[in-house]
Amino acid sequence: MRRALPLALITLLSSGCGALAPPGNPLVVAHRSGAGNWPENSRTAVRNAVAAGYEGIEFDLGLTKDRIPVISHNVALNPVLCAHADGTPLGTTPVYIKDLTLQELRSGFLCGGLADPDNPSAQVIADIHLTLDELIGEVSARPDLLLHFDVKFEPEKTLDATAFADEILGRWSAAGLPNPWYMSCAFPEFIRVAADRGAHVSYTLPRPVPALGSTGGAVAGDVLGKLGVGDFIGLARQSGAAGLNVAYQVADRAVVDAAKREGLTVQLWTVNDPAALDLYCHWPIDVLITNYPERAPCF
Amino acid sequence: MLLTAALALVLAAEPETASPAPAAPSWSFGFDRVDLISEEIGSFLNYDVLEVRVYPLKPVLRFVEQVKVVFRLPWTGLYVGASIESQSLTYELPVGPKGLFLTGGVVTRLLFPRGAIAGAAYRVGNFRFGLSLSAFTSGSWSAPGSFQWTFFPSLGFGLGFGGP
Repeated sequence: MRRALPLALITLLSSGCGALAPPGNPLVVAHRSGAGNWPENSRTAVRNAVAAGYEGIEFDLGLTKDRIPVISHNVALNPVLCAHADGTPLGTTPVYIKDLTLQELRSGFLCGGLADPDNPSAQVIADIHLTLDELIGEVSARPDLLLHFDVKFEPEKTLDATAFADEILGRWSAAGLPNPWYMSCAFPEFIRVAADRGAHVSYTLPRPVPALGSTGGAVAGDVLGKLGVGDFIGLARQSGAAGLNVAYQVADRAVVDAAKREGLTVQLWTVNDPAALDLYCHWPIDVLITNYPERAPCF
Repeated sequence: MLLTAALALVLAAEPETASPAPAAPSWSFGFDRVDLISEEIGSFLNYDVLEVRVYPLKPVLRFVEQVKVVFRLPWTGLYVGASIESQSLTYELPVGPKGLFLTGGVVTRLLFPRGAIAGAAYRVGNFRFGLSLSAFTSGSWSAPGSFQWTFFPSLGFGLGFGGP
């Protein structure tokens, strides 16, 4: 008995309270509408995600020069995935969506026709950019489908935050679909504007720190969070966000627990490895974002 | 896991077989130890270590963030410690001649009052083992109004370099 008690305590503690926590039940959302299986953010991906019975889709929104919301991950066309309409490569000079009208974007460029090195199992299908209005049409048959609008507003590289909020929220509201939805953005300028218009917006973290790169920025963000001068709950509260949209590489389970109790929603991105999906399916999060929803045990 | 297994073996051993702790050391201000596993907060063992198989860099970073340097203050039994994750003021009350102490303290986050710990510690040779209950809030300088409490059982393992 004298030896058993400490051994039992140590065994319990070393297993971690996380291992004993009740399982979560997150909705599984297809990242970029299913980038693991189809060209990211494409009409093909949206159609197949709807047909596959996915619980939700995440897609990225840019804004053209003539203020048309289009589905695109980057503020500039991705030279790895996109090419000129005649097939020639984009080159090294960034082609910003804000500098193109929808007609120029569609007549001059195609995306999805190049193999995606990050998603080698994805189909390769060239297509013109999908607009938000067209996406709304594609999902109208699935009123249960959760929609995650990831807004790619970025100061100085896109149109202003008010234009993004007006065009996206205006079109979504006009469509009148009953689908559950929320937005996310990495910049508080947009979060404040959209939250003022009644949107549920999550703060995308970690914040980009171009000078440090993705890993350096994540490490710096983690340290600042631990110090409490840039912690995730504080950032969300200060920006008016109603949720946290957190990369799993920087997610802190204790912070997630506290954020949930504080009334914030939590989305975790982008988890693709089966073991990681199994782990994070047990976290008390609202949404688990993955390129491969079918791999998640909680789907 | 290896660390806690080793700790289990030490705690389960007969106290008489361990090196005798100094019965009444003279107290002096100065460096006391480095806690490789800090019992404040406790989220490293409770949560972060579970992610080692899916993204090892994160537990490694969280480990570094919780390593704590501890100093003795001029008052007997009083310690101050600091890591990236927390800073604390703790008191150790001896409850026997064999290196056993009751412990308690307050924990801050960059000096923002955050919570408390209470538990027991066992010092043997240059080692200190702790077993505590940690209670802390989500409050910080950037979210001073956030008061979601978390309670963790936690373990500590410290390495000193000679007693006071």
